[in-house]
Amino acid sequence: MNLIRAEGLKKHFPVGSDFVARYLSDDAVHAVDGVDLAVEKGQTLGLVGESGCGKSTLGRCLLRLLSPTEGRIYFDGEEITSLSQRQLRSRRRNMQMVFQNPRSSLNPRQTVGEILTNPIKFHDIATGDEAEEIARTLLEDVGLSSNHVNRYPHEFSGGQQQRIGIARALSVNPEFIVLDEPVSALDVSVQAQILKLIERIKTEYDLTLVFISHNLNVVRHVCDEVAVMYLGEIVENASVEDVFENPMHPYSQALLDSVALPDGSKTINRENIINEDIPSPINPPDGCRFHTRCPEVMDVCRSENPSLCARTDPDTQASRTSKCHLYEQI
Amino acid sequence: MTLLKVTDLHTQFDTSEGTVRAVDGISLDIEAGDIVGLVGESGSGKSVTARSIMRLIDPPGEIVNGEIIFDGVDLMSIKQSEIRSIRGDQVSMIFQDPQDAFNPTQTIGRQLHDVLRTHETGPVHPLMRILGRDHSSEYRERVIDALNRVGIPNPETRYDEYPHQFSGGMLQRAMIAMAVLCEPELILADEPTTALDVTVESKILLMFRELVDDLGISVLWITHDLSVVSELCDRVVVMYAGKIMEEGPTKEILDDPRHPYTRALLESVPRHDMPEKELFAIDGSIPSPHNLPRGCRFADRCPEAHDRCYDSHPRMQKTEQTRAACYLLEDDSDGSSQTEVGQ
Repeated sequence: MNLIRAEGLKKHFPVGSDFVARYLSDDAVHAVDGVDLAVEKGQTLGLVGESGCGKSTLGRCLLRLLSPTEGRIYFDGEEITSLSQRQLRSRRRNMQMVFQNPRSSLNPRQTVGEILTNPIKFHDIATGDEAEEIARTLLEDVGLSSNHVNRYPHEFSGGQQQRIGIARALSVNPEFIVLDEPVSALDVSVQAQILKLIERIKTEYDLTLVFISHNLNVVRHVCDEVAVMYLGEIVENASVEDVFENPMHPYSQALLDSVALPDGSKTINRENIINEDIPSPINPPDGCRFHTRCPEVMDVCRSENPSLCARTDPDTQASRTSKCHLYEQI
Repeated sequence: MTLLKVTDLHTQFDTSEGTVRAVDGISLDIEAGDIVGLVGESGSGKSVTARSIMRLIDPPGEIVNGEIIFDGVDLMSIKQSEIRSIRGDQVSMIFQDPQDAFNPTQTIGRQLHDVLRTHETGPVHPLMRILGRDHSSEYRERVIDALNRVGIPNPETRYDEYPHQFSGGMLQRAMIAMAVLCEPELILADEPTTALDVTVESKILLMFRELVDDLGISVLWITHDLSVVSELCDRVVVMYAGKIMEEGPTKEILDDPRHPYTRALLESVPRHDMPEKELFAIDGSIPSPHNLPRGCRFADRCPEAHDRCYDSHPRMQKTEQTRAACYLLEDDSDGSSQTEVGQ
């Protein structure tokens, strides 16, 4: 069953330096441009792509932290696209977010105890000593000590701060968490600790996750499904094995080819590296958005935007989708 | 030939909470034409090492001890004015964030042009600048040539553009062009590709490697990313909490690391080609710089620590091709094939 589903989701940000221009001009950053996406209950969906592809905007739209320009979002069967902020408040108990930079996403003037008990009190889960008790348990759950409740965020290292960020997201016992590059700001040794923590809490708290990352190695380890984004569109959506072992879209292939590994022998595949400049999301290219960088570009790619084609694997019955003319004829 | 020889470098910072020994007695050599990767987590002292080499340590920081010999010149004993003529000319630096390193109010071309002019003809009279006579078409040609070499398309047009009109990758290319402009002998690169996307990063690494091989420039490449090292570097130096833990040729270090820290670091990198591999997480975190352990810096987190490790930091042990600071290596040597060398 789908826990969260998006249909034809679009989010455009108006551009223009002044107030009048902003409302009169049609120019807009097409951050998310027609995305269909569904996350099964209990699954982890990885959202990958280069910077500027709209993956963070999409993550925020799913939580209604941003209101989409067009399209619909369903959470647990209920449409939440047009709920008011007041109505959303009670739903937020079930959906939380973990941010990239733990330092800037924790209030420096609140103690860890306050950071963790505020959402608990706000959602009337518990009050007073009981709330504090929950906070202490949470801290232990994320691998910190329960007597850290009286400390302030600056007293912790980056990895520990990210643990607090995760504990805060868990405090209201949500079903769904969007993690926006949760390990990108951390050192490798700490990154592994946090990844293990995320895997553990996912099973312990029975969570559904959207894991936004630009690091394909990390995604391979924590995700069940992967959606590859490019310039506001999802170009490939398949199980993690399919994307990594048999990528269909040339862009997924190119991303995989440019991942370097710490081996003495391996080097980047020289031939397959794509041209580095991502086109502007204000004027995305006509036809297929990837055609300006695609190594397998055909004439049709320059004029027609391919549709998202679904195909079913004859062996596993798993369905996967890709948005490329190469697979349309088949 | 050894281009840069750093011996027993100590750099400290006096803070209100005590002295921070950011770099604590490291020695490293860079051979002419080599690309050396300096790897470590944040706070390990790798950037301070590079800044110390350039003598760019400002108070409260201080280089308290050590010898830095660059191309036969002792950088520790010469005057600030002399070091200035070496910076940019013989040794140049590439920074992590090109957005901050360029002046946003001047065109890219102009900034590169002025680097060339300053190093070749010296400063110009302010009057000449006001009259706009400080711009030479010969230097312009050379800048355009350099921009072309680092793979910036349409360098003639790009010359007159401002930093904000460049994408992150293009700006880092321009930064590399600036670093090689005076054909230095050594480039100190401080995490130049960390802020870039993988697709952009891999292209820049390939370009950079070809460029420095062509020009015969030596490089000290600072990074926290071991996969970048495997793409780019001839040798690797692994730092932890102000000390060098292990060093040697890239292939040997990555394929057969001898130090438990290097091993743990490699084990904790998730890899898309080994999905079944259990991720290894090093417990704990890097020791506080105010309160460094008396023994081995890594002992608290080391899976193979024993009593001796808590007493004093081990000395560098030589193996066939690499050097590592660990007591474990002392044990299997029995003094025959391996010789102790100073830290």
